[in-house]
Amino acid sequence: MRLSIAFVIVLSLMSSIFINSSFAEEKRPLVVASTTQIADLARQIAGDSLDVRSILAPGADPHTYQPTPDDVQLVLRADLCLENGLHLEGKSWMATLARDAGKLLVTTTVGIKPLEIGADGETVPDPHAWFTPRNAAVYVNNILKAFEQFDPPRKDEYRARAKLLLQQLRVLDAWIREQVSLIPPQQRILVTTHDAFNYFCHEYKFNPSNNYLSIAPVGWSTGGEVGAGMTPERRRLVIESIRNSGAPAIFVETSINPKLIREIARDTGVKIGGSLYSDSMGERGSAGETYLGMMRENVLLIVAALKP
Amino acid sequence: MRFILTALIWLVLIGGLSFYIYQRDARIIPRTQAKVAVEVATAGYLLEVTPTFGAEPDPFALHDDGQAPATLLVRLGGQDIYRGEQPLARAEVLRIEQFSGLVEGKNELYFEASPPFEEAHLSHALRVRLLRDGVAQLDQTFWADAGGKVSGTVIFTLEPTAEVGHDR
Repeated sequence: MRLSIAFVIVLSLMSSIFINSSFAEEKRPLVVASTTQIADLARQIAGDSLDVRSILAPGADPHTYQPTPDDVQLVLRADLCLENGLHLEGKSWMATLARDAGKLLVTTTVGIKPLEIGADGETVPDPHAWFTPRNAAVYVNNILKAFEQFDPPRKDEYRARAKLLLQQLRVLDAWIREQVSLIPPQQRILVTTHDAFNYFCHEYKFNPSNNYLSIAPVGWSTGGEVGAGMTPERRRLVIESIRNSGAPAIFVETSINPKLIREIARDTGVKIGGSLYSDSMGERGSAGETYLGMMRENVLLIVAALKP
Repeated sequence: MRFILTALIWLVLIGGLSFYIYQRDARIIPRTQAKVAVEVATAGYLLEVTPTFGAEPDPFALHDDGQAPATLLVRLGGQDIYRGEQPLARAEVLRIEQFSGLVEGKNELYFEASPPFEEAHLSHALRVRLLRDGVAQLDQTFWADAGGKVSGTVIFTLEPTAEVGHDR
């Protein structure tokens, strides 16, 4: 009996030593990114060597996001923080989180020449810079530099992964150009409910009449109309604006009231091109859950709606 | 006492098993020895590279610390022998002399060049020639699909008398 008990105790001790050493190996440095796009690019570079998380969930709006206590706890545990910058994170919520937690924060848009847009009577930089693969390459190099400085022993593996990702971005850019060439130039009119596509329009030459910037219907506001209905005056402005643009289709966000969309489409005579991924990538398991997937699906929708 | 004895027996059993596995694996994995490569004198050798496009810095290049992205990269046996940062004109012949790294036996040359961003819809090519005393030992052209970088590897053999055999 005593022998059996001793046997069990020794076996348990040895098992616990083995299990503890396994868990110790699984603790990886934690990198916290503000947006899903940055988190995906970071994950492609980090592989399994770093634990990369995103504060924002798919579908969340970075402009109006309010951090939660869980976000504070996550950043407190982080070893490195990544933000977009260019005021994408409304009221600099990511910078505030990182500063309050005393964590190193890296801005991933450093080196990008921003487009200037008008907002509330002022000229501000457009923060949606990730919408061209060429700019995404800048994000990749900034993230890589941060990882190399933070984790020098793994520099070579990060560089190798980044190189592959950069080549994928290059191929993505060439593919987009080829796809866009299927749309006759006079039909390259991209009207979206959120003006997140300026960089995309500028790079691939959409909306020449609007200086190659995206067109959002005048009077359209993503905040006030969701679910609550649009005022008649705003509705009139939106319909007039869409008709004047000459667009064969408009593209919406998933948060918009579908009944409202159908009515506007009927009144303007344009078709609904579909829902584009704008400030956020798709849910887990969806085609747009990665950066490459998001860009691919957006372009497929745009081309399908605008080509003859 | 019995407890200590039981623990000791388990330690011996598991230790013995681990030792056996280690010994067994050490026997299976053969030891290899790398041959020492004999360098060949490169006097008289000339590498010519001719692109069908104007090579420009690649906006999708990996940023090396303090270095601008390369327009053209040539690597011999894993070592960079040329790294151009200035644009290279279409059909301009780039001549690379006084490089080291050629060895007796198999050699490997790797080339990589970046076509203009605005010509991403076109296919591009890079012609590579290795000449010894003016006589072409190697002449190969690498093609890239639209949007891709032009890159390729050529493996060739240098005999001890330095006559080139080309592996395809």
